[in-house]
Amino acid sequence: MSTLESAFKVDEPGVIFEESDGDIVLVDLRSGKYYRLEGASSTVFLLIVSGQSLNHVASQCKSPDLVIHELGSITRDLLERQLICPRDTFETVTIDPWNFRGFTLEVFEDLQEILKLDPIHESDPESGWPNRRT
Amino acid sequence: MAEPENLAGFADQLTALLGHAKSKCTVEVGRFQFGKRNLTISASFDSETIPRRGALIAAGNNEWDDYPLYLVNSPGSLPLDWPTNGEVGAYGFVRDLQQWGWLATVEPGSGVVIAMHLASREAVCMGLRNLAPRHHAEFLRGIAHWHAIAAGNFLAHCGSVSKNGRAVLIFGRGGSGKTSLVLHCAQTGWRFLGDNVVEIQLNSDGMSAALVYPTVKLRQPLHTSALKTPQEWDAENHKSIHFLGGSEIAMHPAEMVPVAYCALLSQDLGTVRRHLSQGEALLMTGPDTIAQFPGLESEVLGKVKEMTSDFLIEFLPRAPLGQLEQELALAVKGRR
Repeated sequence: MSTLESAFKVDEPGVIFEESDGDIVLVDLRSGKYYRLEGASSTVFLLIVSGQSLNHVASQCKSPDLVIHELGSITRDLLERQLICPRDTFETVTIDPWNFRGFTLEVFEDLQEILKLDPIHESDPESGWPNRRT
Repeated sequence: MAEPENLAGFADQLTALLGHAKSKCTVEVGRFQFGKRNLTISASFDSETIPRRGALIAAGNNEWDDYPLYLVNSPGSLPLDWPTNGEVGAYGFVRDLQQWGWLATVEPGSGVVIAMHLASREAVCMGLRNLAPRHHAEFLRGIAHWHAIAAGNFLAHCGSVSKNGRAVLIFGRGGSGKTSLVLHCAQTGWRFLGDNVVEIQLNSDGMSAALVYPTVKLRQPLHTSALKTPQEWDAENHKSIHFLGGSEIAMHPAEMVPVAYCALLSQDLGTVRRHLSQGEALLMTGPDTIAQFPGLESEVLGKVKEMTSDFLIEFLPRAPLGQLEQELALAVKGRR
C-alpha cells in the first residue's frame, strides 16, 4: 500500500504528545528530541494521524490536487523521524473541509541528553543525574 | 512485547522481595516528609549507604499519610528472574508491570531494583551502591514521583518560594537562574519550597505546591550566614550541595501552599515581559519536567498541560535578583 493510501498514528509509547490551545508539543522519548507544531501545522498533523488515508484527508481539502503532494512529503518526513507509524486499520472519522496553510515542524534538541538519560541507572555514580556515567 | 508469564512471575517475586525486606529491615532511618506525605524509611544495613538525614526533611507531627520504604542490600536467597530487554523501557522502567500492581525500575546487570506496590504504596529499594552526595535524596526520585502520581499530583521542574502563605513557581531550564532567585528570596524573608523540584497539586480551587528536597545545588559554595549549613562538593558535577535543614532558611515543613503566581526565567525569549501562550508554556515547562519521571512521561505531560492551561506563566526578562524578587512580592500581593 502506498503512503497516500495508508493511515497513520502517533508512534506511541516512544512518542508522546499533548495539544494545548491549538499548539502541539511532541516528545520522542527515544531520541530525546521534542517538537512544536503551531496552529495550521498542528491541524495538518492531527489530520495525518486521524486514522483516515492521506488520499481521503486530501480530498476534504479545498485544494486537494495541490495538497496531496505536500501531505505525502510531510508524512514521509514524520515517518523518517519515527514520530508516526502506519495503522493496521482505518478509523471511522469525519473530516470537515479544511485549508492547507503550510506546515512547519520546530525541532528542539537542547534537552536531548537529559530526556534520554536514565536518571537512576545511567547517572554517574559519583556526580549523579543529569551527568551520564562514564 | 511483554510476556505476561514473565511479568506476572516478576511481580510475584517483587511481592516476595517486599516480604523479605519487611522482615530484614530493622535499622530505623527515620520518618521524612516527601512532597505531601511521609515516608518511613528502614534499612537492612547500617552504613553510609543510608541516606544522609540533611538531604531529607524530618516529618514532624503532621497528620499526613505514612508510607514505608525499605532499603535492602541484596535479596540473598531471593534471586530475581529479570524481565527481558524487550520488556524494559526507558529508564529501566518496566512499563507493563503496572497491570500486575507494581511500578518498578530495574538494572539487571547490577542487581538493582526500585519498586513500589501500587495498592499499598509500600516501596523497596534493593542493591543500591554507596550514595554520592547528590544521591542522598535523589535516589528517591522515582519513589517520590510515583507517590505523587498515585496521589494525582506531579513533581514540576521549577523553583518555588512563598510569602504570607502564597507561593510562586519559578520555571526555567538549567542555568536560567532559578536557584539564584530562590536563594535570594529565601535569604530575604521568603519560605523555601524548592530550587529544582516541587510537588504540585491541581484541584478545583487552584494549584498548591509542597516541598520535596531541602537541598540546593550551586556552582560555587556560598559562605553567607544563612547558608552556613552542611554541604558537600560534587567535583564531577562542579556543584556544591547545600543541605538546608540546619540553616536559617525557613522551609515549609508540613503544608501545601496555594500558588499565586508563575514566572519563567529564560535567556532565549528576549527582553519584553509577557505572558506565555498555553502552547509556549507547555513547550517551556513540559519536556524538562517529564525528563524526571521514569516511565510516566505521558501522564506527567498531561498534568503539565492541565497546569499550563489553567494558570498563566509570565516570562520575566533578565534583571537584578533584587528587582525580580520585588516583582514576585508584588505578584503574591495581587498587585500585578
